[in-house]
Amino acid sequence: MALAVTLTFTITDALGKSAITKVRVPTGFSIAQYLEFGTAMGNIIAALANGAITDITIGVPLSLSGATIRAVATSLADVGEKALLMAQSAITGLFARFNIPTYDQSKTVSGSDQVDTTDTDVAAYIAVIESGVSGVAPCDRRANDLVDVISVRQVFGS
Amino acid sequence: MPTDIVATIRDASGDEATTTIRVPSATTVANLTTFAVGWATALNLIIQGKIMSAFAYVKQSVAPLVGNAIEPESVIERQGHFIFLTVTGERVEVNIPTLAEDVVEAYTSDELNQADTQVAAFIAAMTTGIAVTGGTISPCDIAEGSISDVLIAREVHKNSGARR
Repeated sequence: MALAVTLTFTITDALGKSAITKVRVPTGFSIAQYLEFGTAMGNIIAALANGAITDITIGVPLSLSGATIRAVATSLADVGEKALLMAQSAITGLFARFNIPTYDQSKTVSGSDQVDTTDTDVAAYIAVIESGVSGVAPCDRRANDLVDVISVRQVFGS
Repeated sequence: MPTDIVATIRDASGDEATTTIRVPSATTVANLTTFAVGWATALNLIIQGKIMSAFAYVKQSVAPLVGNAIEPESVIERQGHFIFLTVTGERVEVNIPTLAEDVVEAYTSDELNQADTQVAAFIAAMTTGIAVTGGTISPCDIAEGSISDVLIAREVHKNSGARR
């Protein structure tokens, strides 16, 4: 069953409180078309409301049918066991952080909390962060390219 | 602002957590999917959990909206409550917080005046869609069943649980 695309409108009142309105639309359109719809529907909702729309987010479900992923979590999987990865942005002084739940602790260097970056699977993941996939490259929250993974370690917490 | 791709991961206890990666906002849906497939495949090899889903979240600017201002009498607890019907008979509920009082039937009921220009425009957008470049986007339910009619349009008051 396909899941629809969800547009979420956040509306804020005079007391600073916020609530949301969701409108679902079919998949199959481009991002530009969804943005057009978002602006038009935003204007219609703004005319009905006394508050102001302060955020519009478009949520698009992505099919992972082409991915190779396990069908069931292993018995050792725990969302409290994580890897924390830090990547340097193309802009000096800016970084991106990634928390990875259910991290496989067998990839930790014995006697430390450091993730073994020479491990084949870890190296492959770092390559995705640094070089992207099929021309799409990850970035920081300011849309700057990520150039180098500088730290990967095991952490705990949920 | 970049696009967030969020993957949900489930562990052996059934608990779920997410991990997020950002890509440029100009990335097409097709390329977002290709990236997500490659990312999920690499992610799967360093975790023990099961990747349940992946969503891309695109932020949209509110600057182009017209008449989008906070009125002093606005409160999120006063809402327009709409129930729509899909072509498959499913119901879709949509609430609009901070509903303007002047779209409610004048002091005779809690029904919204469906002849009001603003109410009619919203109902039309939900039941027949909005024209965009290259097509028309028609709202639907979560399973993509198209909305065809409005059943209920009324004013409600809901406790938000927030204090200011």
